[in-house]
Amino acid sequence: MFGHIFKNRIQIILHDRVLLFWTLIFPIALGTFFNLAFSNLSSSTSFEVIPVAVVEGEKLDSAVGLKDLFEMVSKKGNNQLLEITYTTKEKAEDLLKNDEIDGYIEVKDDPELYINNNSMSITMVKSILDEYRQQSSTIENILKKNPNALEEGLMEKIMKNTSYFEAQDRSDIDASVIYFYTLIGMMCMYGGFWGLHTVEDSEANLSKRGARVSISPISKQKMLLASFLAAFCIQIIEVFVALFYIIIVLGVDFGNHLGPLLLLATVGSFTGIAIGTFIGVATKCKVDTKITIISMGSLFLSFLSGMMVIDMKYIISENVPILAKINPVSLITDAIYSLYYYSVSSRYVTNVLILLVIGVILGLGSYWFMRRKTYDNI
Amino acid sequence: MIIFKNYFQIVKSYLPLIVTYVVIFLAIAYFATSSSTASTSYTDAKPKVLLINNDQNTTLTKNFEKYLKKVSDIVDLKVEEEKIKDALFFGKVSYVITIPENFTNDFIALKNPKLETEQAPDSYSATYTELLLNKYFKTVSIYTEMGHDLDEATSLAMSDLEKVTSVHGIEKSDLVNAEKVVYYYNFVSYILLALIIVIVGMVMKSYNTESVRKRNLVSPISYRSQNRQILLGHFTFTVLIWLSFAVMSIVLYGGIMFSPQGLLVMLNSFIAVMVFLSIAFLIGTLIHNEEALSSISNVLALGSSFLAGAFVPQEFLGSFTLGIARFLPNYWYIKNTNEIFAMTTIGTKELTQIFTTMGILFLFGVFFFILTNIISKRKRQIA
Repeated sequence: MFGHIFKNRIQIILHDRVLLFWTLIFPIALGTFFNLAFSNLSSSTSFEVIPVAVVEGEKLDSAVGLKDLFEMVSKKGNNQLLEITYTTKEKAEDLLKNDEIDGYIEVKDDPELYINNNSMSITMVKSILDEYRQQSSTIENILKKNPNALEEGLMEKIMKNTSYFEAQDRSDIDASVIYFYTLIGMMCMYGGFWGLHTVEDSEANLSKRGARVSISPISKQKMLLASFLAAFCIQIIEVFVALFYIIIVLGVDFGNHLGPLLLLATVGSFTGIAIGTFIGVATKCKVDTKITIISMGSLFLSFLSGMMVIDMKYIISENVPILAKINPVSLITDAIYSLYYYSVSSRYVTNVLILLVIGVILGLGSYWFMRRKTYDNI
Repeated sequence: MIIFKNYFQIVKSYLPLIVTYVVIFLAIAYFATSSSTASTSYTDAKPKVLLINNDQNTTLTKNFEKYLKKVSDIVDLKVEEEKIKDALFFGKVSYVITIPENFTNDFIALKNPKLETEQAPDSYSATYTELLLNKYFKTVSIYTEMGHDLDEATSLAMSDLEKVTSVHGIEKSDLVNAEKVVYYYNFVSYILLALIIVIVGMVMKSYNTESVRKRNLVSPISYRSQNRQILLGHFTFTVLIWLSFAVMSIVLYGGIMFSPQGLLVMLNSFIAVMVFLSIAFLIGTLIHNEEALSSISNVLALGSSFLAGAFVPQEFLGSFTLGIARFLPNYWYIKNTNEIFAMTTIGTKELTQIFTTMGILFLFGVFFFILTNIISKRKRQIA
């Protein structure tokens, strides 16, 4: 009997093509969008030349090395940073007002920057000018003490790019991975839809089919277990396909801990389905309402674990730490985080266990709610 | 107008659910925009740094700490080796710098020693800060190589690094609030789209139930009139939702919302909300499966908002992404919001551009609306 129900449920689920499609598309589409949105952040090569103006005059000419610097950064080619227009102050102000330049540079005692609005480009221009001022000062100080410094290779030393910092571990990981972590969490929660699906067809008050099934002689235990298992299989397949897409096709790096990650996704899906089942059975509202509870609930829980605004994760763990410990999406996100930082550790294991326990409790709870129901009328 | 009145009875039956949604989303909007990263200038954000000094307290390290204090937020934590990862994990710091033993001696001996760093995966500002910190060591190193002793070198380097370019043109006071308003309205575009699709879809499901639909079709009220009344109902409701978010922005940001830019931004969001309504109407006509509706609303709203720059500012998105985003109404809405507050003078040229973009936005709405009409006509014919 068990096998029959199992096979039957699989067929029913596969028949609901719309839901199947969208729950599969959801992580793949979002993953693709995330990837597109963040692809530029990590690639510092694509760069638009910044239009600026420089006010001509005596002060500009007398600033040692400044004109050379400007020439260097505005030279056409792959390394061009600025597009410079040399002009008068009035003309420069006009250009700025009309938004034809991002800012203009006027040399008073030192170069000064006039802008409309702050932005990444302006920060870049400012760093170029800062570097000029600081290096000029350094060169001046050195020449004071050692007038022969230029012959001794001062300029080479100034031009050299040495780094005094060395990253430990994996500090070259993309900052955007947190979004993918929460995406996985949300994916597992969407298993709730399948969980709801499971009970829709075996609860009398949820559908006609449910009414017929509930008066059949089959034991609720078997029904629940078989349907749950069917939903679980489908959900696992969807999650693995999505993970495959994210890791292999999109190339997002989750570290070398594929095994623990898959285990986490499995337990997460189990809990997601259990949550859906529980909501389906324990609440007294229309099916539509339950669906929206699952959908919006997953969204809100994902938000609390930092999906849209990263800070939320830290705000919650500092102010309401209990919430972070029972929010399934948080548990999944934190477990992935800890795989990244500590590799398989007690924190990871704790989270997986809590997830498992939540799933089991809700699963048993669902069974308890399903037993011995009588209706006065439906 | 019986259908119009009836619309609100249907809404009433869903009221607890709708109110829950709106409240949850208002809460999300509130928390998201009052967090510290709610601004569009990533480089101004200073990372929280933890400095661990395994070397002696030399002039080199002491001055490094002084400079570090200037460019970042030093966090005063006494942590042991094992607890560093915890500090990163819990977001207490986003960047950890360890000065290894004997660093100063190796530095003077020109052995080019390196400081060990660890970074949280979700920190952008740490990378930028590292560039600034590198300058300190590079400058000190040049001084020592050219014959100065360490104390002199560090103090000269510190005074060099104090020279920063003066920047003119921003009125600091208004700027912070303007940035927050822009962030709020960009973020809220996601929420409004998701909310409107879900609620409109929910209500339309009632009208599209097979039996109800057929009975309505044979009623003496023309199909057109029915549709118009339903739309009017949707419209009224959407305006109410828009109002609640607009009011919240006034509560949060006060007077700036009544400046010309503030009013323009509100007008812009009103037009956007109408476009979202037309999208929701299209989806509600096509999709009747409630579960699919939730998934679709999430994918569309979240996906298009990401691509259009609601979470990651438009200036950080790649040109390919932006190229795709141009086909999304969200993109134009966000572009306009950014531009409205980037205006320095409110001249005809700027206003023309802003109203043109609003026009483009409006055209999106018209397009979706016409599309819906065509599709529903087809559906009726097939019945």
